[in-house]
Amino acid sequence: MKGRWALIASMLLALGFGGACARKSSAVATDPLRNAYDSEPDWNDPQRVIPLNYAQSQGKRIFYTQCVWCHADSTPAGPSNRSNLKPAPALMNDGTVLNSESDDYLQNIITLGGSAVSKSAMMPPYGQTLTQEEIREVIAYTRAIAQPPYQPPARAGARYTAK
Amino acid sequence: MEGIAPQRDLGPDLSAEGGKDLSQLEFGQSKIPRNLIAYIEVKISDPASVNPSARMPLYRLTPADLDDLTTALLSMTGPPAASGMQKLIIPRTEGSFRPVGEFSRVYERYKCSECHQFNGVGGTLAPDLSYEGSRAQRQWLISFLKNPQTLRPTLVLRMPQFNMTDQEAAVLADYLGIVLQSPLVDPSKIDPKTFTPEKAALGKQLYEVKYQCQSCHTIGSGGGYVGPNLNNAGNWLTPAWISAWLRDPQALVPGTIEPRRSLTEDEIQAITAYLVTLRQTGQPRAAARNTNRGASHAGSESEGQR
Repeated sequence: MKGRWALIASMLLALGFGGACARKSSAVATDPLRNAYDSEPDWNDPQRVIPLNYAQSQGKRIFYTQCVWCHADSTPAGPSNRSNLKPAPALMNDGTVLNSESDDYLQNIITLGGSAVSKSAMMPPYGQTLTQEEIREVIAYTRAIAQPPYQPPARAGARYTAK
Repeated sequence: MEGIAPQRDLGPDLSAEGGKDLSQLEFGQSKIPRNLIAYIEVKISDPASVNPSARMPLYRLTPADLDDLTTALLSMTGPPAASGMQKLIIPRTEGSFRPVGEFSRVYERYKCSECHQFNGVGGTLAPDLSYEGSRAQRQWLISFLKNPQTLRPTLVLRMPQFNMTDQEAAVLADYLGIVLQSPLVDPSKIDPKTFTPEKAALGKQLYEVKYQCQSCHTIGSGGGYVGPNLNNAGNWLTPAWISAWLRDPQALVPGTIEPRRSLTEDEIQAITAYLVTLRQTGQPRAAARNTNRGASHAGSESEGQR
């Protein structure tokens, strides 16, 4: 009887300590903002902060230099140029438009401009202004802030089959 | 001593002797006045009187030699002493830009380099003017200096109106035009006489349809306001600058957000021909009023001097 109580007590103690430790370590591991390079508030819900990895944070920097003037409703300099344009450019976080487009398509439209893919020529080509790596980073950033959230294609190798 | 390698077991380094503090001197039991000059004189003429254990020989110096030696030692003050605070001060790097002549007087008066950069010297608040002479035409520069109008409507910061005289504005514009030139902009390569109306019409087509520059630039009352307003481009920009800019904007202004396009040489010529036809005539009313006021102000000043 005595042995049983001792066993139960030791089990309870172990459970208590173990639980506390697990809670502490999971708090560190599950807060992605702690390990993020940068973050961006959700454009539709400023309370929600999206963590960005390295490539996405580089994309954010390029976005706020080059793209923000037409692909957002407010810019660091005040009102956006978006209202002057017809057709209106897509908002960069508009998942309903951008989530259905592949990374390759976005890479093409940024590199070659709108007219190359039968879209508005108001979108200039950035192939000689940005490197391919920088354009990939901008795309990574738009995927990170997409609303509704972007789901990458199920098959990882899909982008290489369209040759 | 300076220029002589120190040797061990010989006399101490004297290169900073003239800068020594009284607390650093050993007067011993001597009865001489407690100052540096007396110390040096006695140390040279009779070393044992201030330090009985000194190994320095006793020289028989004439008073004139003693005087000369003392003077020479007093002049050796060593390298300038650096305190902890002085070590924290970062020395100012001298830029390569040195304004000269009448321009430097106007430049200093209006403190242009507080906001503008000139060949790496100056502030970053306003556009870099290192190549302004290649970019802007003289007449436009003068009217802009007298009455700065904004070129980019989204910018919040504005250049102040200095109420400068015609002569000062002309001095600045002349200097910018002669000295602050970009090696990439060669006015001899482009001949405005070849800009025919047909070429300009083709340029207008390219501007409005093929490249749709109006998404960022304003001409007339339509267009975007990311880039500068081009309504007065013909009076503002030099044709050589426009074509060089269309060829490679980042080469002229690193980091500019105007995207580099792959335009053919003919397209560059056509768009340049179109942009130089864009001229606004007539001064805005506010500018006219200001110049009148400036003129009358200058008149009253000269009256006061008389």
